[in-house]
Amino acid sequence: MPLNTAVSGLLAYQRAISTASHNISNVSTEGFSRQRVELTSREPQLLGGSYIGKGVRTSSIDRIYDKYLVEQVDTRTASYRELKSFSAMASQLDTLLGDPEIALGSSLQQFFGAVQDVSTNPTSTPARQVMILEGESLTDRFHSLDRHFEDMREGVNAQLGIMVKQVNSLAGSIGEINRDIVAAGGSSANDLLDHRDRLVNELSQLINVTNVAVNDGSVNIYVGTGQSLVLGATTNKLALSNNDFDISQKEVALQSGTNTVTISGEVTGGELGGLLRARKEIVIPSQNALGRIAIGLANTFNTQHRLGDDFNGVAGGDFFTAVDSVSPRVMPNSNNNAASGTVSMSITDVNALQSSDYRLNYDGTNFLLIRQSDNTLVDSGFAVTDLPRTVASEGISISLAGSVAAGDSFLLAPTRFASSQSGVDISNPAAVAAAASGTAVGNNSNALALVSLQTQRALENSTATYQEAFSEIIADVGIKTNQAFVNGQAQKALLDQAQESRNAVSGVNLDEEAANLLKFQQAYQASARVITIVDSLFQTLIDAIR
Amino acid sequence: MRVSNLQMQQQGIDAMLDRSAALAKTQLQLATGRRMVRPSDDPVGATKVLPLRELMERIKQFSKNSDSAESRLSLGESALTGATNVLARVMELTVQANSDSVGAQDRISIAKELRENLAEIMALANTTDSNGEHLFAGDNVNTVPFTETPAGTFNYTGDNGQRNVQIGEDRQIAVGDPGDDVFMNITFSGGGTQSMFKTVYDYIIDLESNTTSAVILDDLQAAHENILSVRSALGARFNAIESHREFNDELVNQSQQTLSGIEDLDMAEAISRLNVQLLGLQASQQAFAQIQNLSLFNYL
Repeated sequence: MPLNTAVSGLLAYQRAISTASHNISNVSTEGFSRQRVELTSREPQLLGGSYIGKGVRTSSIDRIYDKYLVEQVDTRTASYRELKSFSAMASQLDTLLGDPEIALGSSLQQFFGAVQDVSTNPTSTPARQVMILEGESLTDRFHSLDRHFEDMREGVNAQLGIMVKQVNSLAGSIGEINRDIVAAGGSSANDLLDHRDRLVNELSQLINVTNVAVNDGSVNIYVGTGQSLVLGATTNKLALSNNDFDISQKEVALQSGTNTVTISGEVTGGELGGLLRARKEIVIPSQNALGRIAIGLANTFNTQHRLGDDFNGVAGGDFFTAVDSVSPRVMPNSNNNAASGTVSMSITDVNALQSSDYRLNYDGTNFLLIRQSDNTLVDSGFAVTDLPRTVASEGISISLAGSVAAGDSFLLAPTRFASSQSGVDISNPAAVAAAASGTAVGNNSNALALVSLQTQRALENSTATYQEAFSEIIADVGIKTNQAFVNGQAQKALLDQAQESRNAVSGVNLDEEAANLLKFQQAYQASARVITIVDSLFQTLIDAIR
Repeated sequence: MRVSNLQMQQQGIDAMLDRSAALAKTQLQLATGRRMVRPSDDPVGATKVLPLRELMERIKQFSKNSDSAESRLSLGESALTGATNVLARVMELTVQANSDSVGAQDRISIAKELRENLAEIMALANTTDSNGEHLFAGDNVNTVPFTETPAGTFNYTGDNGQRNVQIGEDRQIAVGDPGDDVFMNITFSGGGTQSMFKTVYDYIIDLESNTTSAVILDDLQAAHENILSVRSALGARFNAIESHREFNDELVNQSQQTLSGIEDLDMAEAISRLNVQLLGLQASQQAFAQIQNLSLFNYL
């Protein structure tokens, strides 16, 4: 009957208008996919040899959506956020090192200026006192720079903790929505699907994820190199674990069931990935490089100082704390055999010293020594009987007290702790050894020799002075910061492009919706008109019969 | 291509934000007068800047050292000048004392004055600087270099060390002369060398017993010339310091110029860039405002 047909029209266009209205309300909603009503004609009825149409029905309300585009946005979001987070940490250090009040250069200059004053006035007690004070000022500068590095490490630990919680919360929500979507019948819960997409995008900001759709409508989320975070409605949790060698360094781990596995090495992308990479590529190398300068300065200065005589004709002792002796540290893996002995390390040649940690592995027969900064194998094939072993290319020597078991590993940190342990070992101005050995108190030859250390290339295989070594750190951080910035901009452009593509498909355009509204309104009015006409036809019929 | 409202808005906002950021950077550059605000702005430039700064600081230190060297040398010079003046007086007196018209009593009075002169020369030879260091003691600066044991024996307790001061990157200058070279090792007419103090002392003793000496003037002349030659060596060192100062100043100027070239902002370029950026920002703001108003709903 025409009435039913007209009513079907009214209902369909009502739904269409409400969908358009839903789109319009969500014009500014981030991640919203516009919806479109699919109208199809009803099954026709066979009546007297002809098919009579029965009107229209809403076959579905479709979400306009391209999975590939959404995934592209997620992947690029992860890359962009990683660079942004890396950049933030790098540029923090960059600004710090560029600040002349904080950086090493002026302190070094002032100290050597004081040494020059002693060389010009070797018997002057005030000049000697100032040299000691400037020495302390210099070592304080090492301390405060090192403190900044430690603060950054602690900052990374804290931020990792926060992000891990955020990831877990998002993962939990995704798991719940998966459950809701499955319960609602798979692919028809449009707004739930949008919500889940938004959650996955938020997750991508924190960490790079792979999402795989499952038949029943849920998605599985994997992190790193395939570790599962969300499987349908069940979620695993991320947690913070201690680094195997250094309990002050936190790592990202995945808990599935009772098993906790560290995945820091596998995690990439997102702010989490950026933090981990910044710690590995910027904070640790710079701290080690600074330590190397502290060691080089202490060692070369002390060596020359001991060649001279002090005010009382006594041979000079150490001027600076001998951080080359006291600060190298070996950290055993917490999983090492409990009966294993102690590995220790000493510095044999500050000129050859690198600015990296080392990994020492024992396979039961032989050791492997791997430089961490560039993952190079620097020594191998030596057994317990070959210890103490001098590795000349790295300027260190390794020794063992006790035994080792197969599978044991150790982290060797030759320079990391040197800056924090720097200091001046003398406090009595008379102990400054300005005179050459065996000469009288007015001699200044040793002081002149100490002065010349400022311009001597005694570090990094005789290629750098103390100042040049520090400049290298500044340049290194500056270049990495710059690179990250440039790459970040490129990645932002890519991300913008991906979002543009996604919005082109799924975004709401108000003009379009307005035009649709007009269209549906007209159609609705026409159907309503049909009802009026059907009603009047009926009236005519009634009147005719009366 | 279809464009959603959200996209248009976001694009407009991003454009304004980008332009604002560029403008802020230009503003910071203009405010500091620096092209590089942080090392990452120009990492290679940053590595050039630091050694230049360090060089200029070192030259400042060398200048300080030079001042110190000059003051010590000048002290030495005035001591030596004083000594030559006293020696000249001594020589006058010996001429007088040697003359036949002078009697024993007069010789005794001359001897008295000569004793004073001798004491003065010794005092000058034992000059100390403001730190209490003896100038003519070699490296043994805290001990009085010239002493007289009562029997007329004069000893030098210093050594032959000569202190050098760093006045330039590769330049050291001596600021002292070992006392024995100045006062002790004078060629003596009686053969070998003898200290000038002993020479004068012996003559004093002679005068007091009414004896003259024929060779005293030659010996005193030798002493006088010795001091003069040390003094002129001192003078040469002064000149060396001065000319090295000029060299250092020139080095500082050059470094300053190079530094300026690397670090300083090209003001003209920055200001015109600022104007362009301001215009760009204004344009994007106006465009945004105008586009926001367009909607079909205005016409329904």
